[in-house]
Amino acid sequence: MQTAVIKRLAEMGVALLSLSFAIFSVVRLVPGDPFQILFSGAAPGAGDAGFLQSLHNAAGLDRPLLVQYAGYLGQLLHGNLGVSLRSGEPVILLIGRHLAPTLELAGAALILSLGMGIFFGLALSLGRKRWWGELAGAAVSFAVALPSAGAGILLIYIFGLQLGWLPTFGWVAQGWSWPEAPRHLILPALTLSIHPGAVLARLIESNLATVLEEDYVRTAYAKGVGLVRVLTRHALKNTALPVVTFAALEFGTFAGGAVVVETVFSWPGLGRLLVDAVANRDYALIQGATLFAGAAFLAINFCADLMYLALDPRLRYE
Amino acid sequence: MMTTKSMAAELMAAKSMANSISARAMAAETVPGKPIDPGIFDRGERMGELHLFLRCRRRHWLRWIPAILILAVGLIGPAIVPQNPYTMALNHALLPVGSPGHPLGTDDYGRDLLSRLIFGARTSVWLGVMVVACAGAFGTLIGAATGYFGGLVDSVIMRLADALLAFPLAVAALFVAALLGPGTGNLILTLTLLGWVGYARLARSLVLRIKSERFVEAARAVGAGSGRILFRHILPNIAGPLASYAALHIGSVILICAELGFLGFGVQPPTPDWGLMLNEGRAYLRVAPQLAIFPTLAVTLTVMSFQGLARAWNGRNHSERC
Repeated sequence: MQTAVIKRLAEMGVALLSLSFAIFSVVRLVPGDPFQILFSGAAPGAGDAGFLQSLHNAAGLDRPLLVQYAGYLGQLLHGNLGVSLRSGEPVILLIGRHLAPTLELAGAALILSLGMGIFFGLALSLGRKRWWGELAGAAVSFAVALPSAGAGILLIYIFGLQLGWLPTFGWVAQGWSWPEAPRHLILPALTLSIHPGAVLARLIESNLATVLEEDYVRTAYAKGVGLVRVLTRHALKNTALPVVTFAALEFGTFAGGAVVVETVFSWPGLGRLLVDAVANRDYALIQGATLFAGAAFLAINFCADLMYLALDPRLRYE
Repeated sequence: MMTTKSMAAELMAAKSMANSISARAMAAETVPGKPIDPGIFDRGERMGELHLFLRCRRRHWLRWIPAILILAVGLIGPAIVPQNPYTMALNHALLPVGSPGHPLGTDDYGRDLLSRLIFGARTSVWLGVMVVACAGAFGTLIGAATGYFGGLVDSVIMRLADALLAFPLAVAALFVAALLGPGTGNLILTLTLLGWVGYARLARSLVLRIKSERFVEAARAVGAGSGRILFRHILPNIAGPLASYAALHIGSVILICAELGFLGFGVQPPTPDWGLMLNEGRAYLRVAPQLAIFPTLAVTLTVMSFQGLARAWNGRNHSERC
C-alpha cells in the first residue's frame, strides 16, 4: 500500500519531467520565433536582425537545447519559472493572476456537471420506455453533440439578452461585490458543465444498468426495500468509482483552463493564457503553464486514486 | 490504479464494441461431427462476417438516414445552394429570416446564410472524412500489426499511445493547433496526430482477442503468410467495431473542428465553416441571433446523426436490436 503510493508518486514525477522536456524541445523546434512575432506588427526597421539576435542572446536562446534545458531545470529547483518573453512579467505571477478565475470556473462547473449527470443518469435508467425517459435521452443526446461555443452563445442569447437576468461576460473577484461575482460565474459554469454532464449521465446510466441486475439488488427488492432506498443505499454507491474517475478527469482538464468558454465569456482563465502563449511562442510562459496544468491534472487524478481506496475497501488489500 | 483511469478515458461505446467479438466467434464454432471444410475458414468466415454486418445493420436504416443526408448535402452542396455563398452585397447585410431570396437571411457582409450553412456542411464533412480516413488507416494498421506481432515495438508504441491518451484531447488538440498555426491542412494533421491512437488501441485489443481463434490457426496451417492472415482473415473480422468507432469519431472530429474554427485555429475566412460562422455571428447576437443559432444547430444535428449511425452499427450485441 505505502510502496504503491510511493511508486505512483515517483511515476508522476517522471511523467511530469518527460512532459516538461517534450514541451521544452517541441516549442523550440517548431518554426516560429517569439521576438519575430513580437515585432511582426511594428514599424519597418523596429525589429532588425541584429536587434532580434541580441534579444535572443539575452534570453539565452542561442545556447544548445540541452544546455538551455539544464539551466531551466536548475532554475525550476529554486522555484523560478522564468519571465515571460513577451511582457517580461514573472511567469509565476501571470499564472497566479489567472488561477482564481480558473479554479472558480472549474469548481462550479464540476459541481453543476455532477448534479446534472446524476439527475439525468437516474432519469435515463429509471425512465426507460416512458415519455420522460425518452425526453431525457433526447436532451442528453443533444447536449453531448452541442459545441460548447454554441452552448455559451445560446445561453447568452436566452439569459443575457432576451431575459436580461444574468451578465454575459467578464469576471468579478469573489467577495468584492455581492452578488455580482457569483452572478458572473453562472453562465460560464453552466456552459462548461453541459457536455461533461451529459457524458456523465450516459456513464451513470450504463453503470446502473449493470448494477441493477446484480443479485444483491434483487435481494434488496425481495426483502421489501423500495426503489428509492435501493438506489440510494445499494445501487448508487456502486456507481461511485466511475463517477469519481470521470469527475477527476474533468476537473483536471478544467484546471488547465477551458479555452472556448473563456473566449466566449471573456473569462481571464489559464486556458486562454496558454493558447495565446503558444501562438506567440512565449517559451517560458508555455513551459510554466503546461507544467502547472500537467501537475494539477496528475495531482487531481492521484487524489481520485486515493478516493477509490476510501470508497472501496476491497482495493486496500490488493 | 492506472487501469481504472484509462477505462474511463476510453469511450464506453468502444468497450461494448470489443465485447461483441468473442461472443460472435463462439457462435461461429463448427458443429461437432460435421467435417471441417478448410474453405470456410478462408472465404466463409470473412464473407459471413461482412454479410452479417450488412444484414444486421440493414434493419436500422432509419438511423442511417440523417448521416446519409448530411453526407449527401456535403457532396452535392454546390449544386443545390440558392446563392453563391461568397458573394457579398453590403446593401443586403443582416437581412432577417424569411427575406425574399434569402430564406434564412444574410450575414454582416450580405452573404446568404442558407448557402453558407450548406457549404459549411461540405467543409465539416470533408474535414471529418479526411481525418477519420487518415487516422483510421494509420491507427488500424499500427494497432493490428503490433497486436499481431507483439514484441518490443508493440510495447513501445502502446506506451506512446498511453502517453498521448493521458492528456485530455481537447487541450492537446488546441495546443498542437496553436503550435502548427491555423489552416485546414494543419487542422487535419493535428486531429490525425491525436486521433490514430484510438484506432490503434481498439484494433490491437480486437486482434489480441481474435488471433488465437481457430480460423487464424487454420489459415496459418494451410500456409498463409502474415500479410495474408492480417489483411484477408483478421481485418475483415474486426472491421465492424472499427467502423462503428469511426462513425463516432467523425462526429467528435466535426465537434472539435467547430470549436477550433470558432477560436480561429481551423478553417480560415472566407471559407464557410460552421465554427467560423459561429464566431462571426456572435457579434450580431442582439440584432441577428440566427447568424449564431443556425450554425450551432447545424453542428449539433450533424454530430448527433453520426452518433446515431455509430449506435446503429454498434447495436449488434444488444439482442433486442438485432
